[in-house]
Amino acid sequence: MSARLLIPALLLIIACAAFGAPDPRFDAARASYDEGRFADALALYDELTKDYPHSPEAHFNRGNALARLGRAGEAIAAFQRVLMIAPRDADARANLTFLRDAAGLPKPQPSLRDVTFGALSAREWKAIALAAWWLGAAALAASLLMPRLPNIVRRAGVALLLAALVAGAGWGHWRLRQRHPLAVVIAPGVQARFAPLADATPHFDAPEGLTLRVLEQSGAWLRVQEDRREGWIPREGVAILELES
Amino acid sequence: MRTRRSNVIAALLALALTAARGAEVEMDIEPRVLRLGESAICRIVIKDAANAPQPRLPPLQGFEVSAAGTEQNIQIVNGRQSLFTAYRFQLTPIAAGDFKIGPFRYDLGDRVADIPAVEVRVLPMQGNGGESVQSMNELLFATLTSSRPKVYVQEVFDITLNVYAQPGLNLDRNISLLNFDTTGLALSGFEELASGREAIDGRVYDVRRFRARATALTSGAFTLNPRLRVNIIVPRSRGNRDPFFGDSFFDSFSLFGRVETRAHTLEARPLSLRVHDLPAEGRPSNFSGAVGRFSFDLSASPLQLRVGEPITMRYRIQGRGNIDTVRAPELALPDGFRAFEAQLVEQNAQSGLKVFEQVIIPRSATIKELPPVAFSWFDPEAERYETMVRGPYPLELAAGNAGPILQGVEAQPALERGPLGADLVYLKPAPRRLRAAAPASDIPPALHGLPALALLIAAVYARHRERLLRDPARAARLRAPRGAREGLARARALAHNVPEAAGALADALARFFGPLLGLPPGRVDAESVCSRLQQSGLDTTRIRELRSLFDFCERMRYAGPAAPATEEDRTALARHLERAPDLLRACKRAVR
Repeated sequence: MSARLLIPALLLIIACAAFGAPDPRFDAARASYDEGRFADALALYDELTKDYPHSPEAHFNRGNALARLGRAGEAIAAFQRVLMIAPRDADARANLTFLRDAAGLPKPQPSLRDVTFGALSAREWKAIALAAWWLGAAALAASLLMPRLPNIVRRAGVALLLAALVAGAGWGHWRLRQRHPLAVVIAPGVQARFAPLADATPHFDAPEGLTLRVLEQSGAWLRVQEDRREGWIPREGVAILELES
Repeated sequence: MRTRRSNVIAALLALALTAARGAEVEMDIEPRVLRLGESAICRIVIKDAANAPQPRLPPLQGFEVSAAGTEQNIQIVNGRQSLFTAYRFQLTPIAAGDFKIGPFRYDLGDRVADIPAVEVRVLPMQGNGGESVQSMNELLFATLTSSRPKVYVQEVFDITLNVYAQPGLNLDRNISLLNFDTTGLALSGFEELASGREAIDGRVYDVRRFRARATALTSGAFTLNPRLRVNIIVPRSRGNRDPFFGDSFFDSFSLFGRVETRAHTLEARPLSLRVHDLPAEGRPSNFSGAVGRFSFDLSASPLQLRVGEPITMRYRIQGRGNIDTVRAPELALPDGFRAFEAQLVEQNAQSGLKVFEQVIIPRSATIKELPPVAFSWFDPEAERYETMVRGPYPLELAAGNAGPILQGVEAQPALERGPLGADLVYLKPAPRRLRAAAPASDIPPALHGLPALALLIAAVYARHRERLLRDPARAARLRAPRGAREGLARARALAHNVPEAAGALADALARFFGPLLGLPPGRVDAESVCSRLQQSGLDTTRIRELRSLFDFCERMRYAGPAAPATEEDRTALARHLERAPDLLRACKRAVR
């Protein structure tokens, strides 16, 4: 195949990949949802989130289907996942607020660090950090090797390396946070206990939809923290929000 | 006899002078005989006591006392300087009789001075009927009257202040109110009415009247007891003026020095008011606080219109009362009307008029009339509520056609609307591009170290370049092998021409040894080079070989191109070209 034919073929493949037809299961799930068959819609959205775990749309729509089925805890977990992938998704934030309000759950009070570094997802921070690192190093190396280059190249290099540092901090924040990931209570009547035993004294109630921070895992139990209180809850009662890989 | 009388007078004067010199505080009152309506000036003069506190006169029976100023004078007699401070008080008699003012004790701070008493006689004033007036209250007094004996909350009524003065007493036009407590009332400013004369208890008085409009704000009992400041015009007394402490120079210019004014405080006879709450009995449901006597009129137009077109209602309320706070009557409209807020379009406080306009829009063709409109008020004189009703007015509405402002109810039925609330945001559309997994780390993590490596190399290179720039000799030394290689390559290329090849070889030697040994181009010869290399420890075999190379180059260059090269020369050239690189490397190693 000559180069004259190869380039258009490659462009066509790229265009198809970029502007290809959406997965038809989205339409089918939406039709089910519109007709009130939320369980069918949820089944399709479950498949879609497994196949496309990094699609905020799939998680968002799954959250809606779960909410319509009355599974508020799982719906809240789904919307939390959307916000981990796309932190600036206003729709997911609105649905999350709506569900929390409806369930009478306390509004989370994020720290300043969470607010600052939570504006972008971990992937976004990583992409910015790497791009700034490569470009900054290239600009700085070029300015060292070619002294006749304008001074702005050196300055741009330094600025990019600083940006890489900040973005690296954002990325690191997400990674560190993942050491103690968030978890959402998805079952009703869950209680946090003083020990990882079924007959241990209950410490506090963990209503469905409550967001907790997982401090430790011990067998089928998780040590969780909520508003400075710590307790043990069964693993099957929560959905842990793992950071995208 | 005359001599004896003169001696007595001289002795009395000396005694008086001695007494005067010894006295440090003096009090004098002028005149000591006066009539009611006039006033006297009391002067307390302190000599040579600049830091003495200001004297105060206690309340005096039969007089009103007010401060009238302070003066200071310096007197120099025989070189001795004296400071005189005079405090002046105005004494206004309020009753006829003989009065003794003093004695007083005046504390100067470091000593106490005794001030002897002064007797003052106040003569009654001759009344206009020839009778004598013994008291100031008979001469001048003030009363306060209300236009309403019984007052209700929000009622507007008049309060009149009357100032009575006997014709013999001259008052100037200025009258001021002092600390008039009007708690529970809203009082407008006083306006003067026409003055006149009145006879009270057989005496004739000039009366000045001032009226203010009052609005009762709260219920309760109130007492109005204002104090007035009036100015009495009296003839100026000019006798016995002290050359230092008499009236000031400018006083003699007032009214050409013949009369002067004396301020007098007058307490009006108190007026007690009782303000009543509006009665709850008989209060109409549409009563909105109007108190007084009013008339109410209403006009509405147009009365023939289409559904959705506006009707302008014009309410005209006029009368006496609290018109300022009167509001438009409230409409009791049935379903099918839309009413806008009434707007005040005309107001005249003088005539007590208020005109409101209100737009209403019929929204149904089934409406047949404008409902009646009622306006209610409380009449404080009749002590009952009154209501005036206007309407109803028949309406002729053309149905069906949409009006310019609002659609008729029949023309467009209202949409069924559910209660407003919050809900989930609807589903998101399917994305155009989906990736089965997160984009793999496009670059292996180890490769992210490449920028750091490149930076390191670049930094090292930049440092090396910097050093070469700072050390040109070192740079030349580093360049020397390359120059030698180029020269040798040229010599090999010219091998068929032995003299030219020898020249290129000599050039290569100069380009190599010049920078390497720091020799100028003209000094690169066998002797210089060999001696330096010998010092550097190059072995003798190499030295000999190098000397042989220099000699060959020298010989061939000076033989010139015309001289034919022998086979032996060609062989020597070939040998030198072959061995030169190795020889030069050895030389470089020796120098390093």
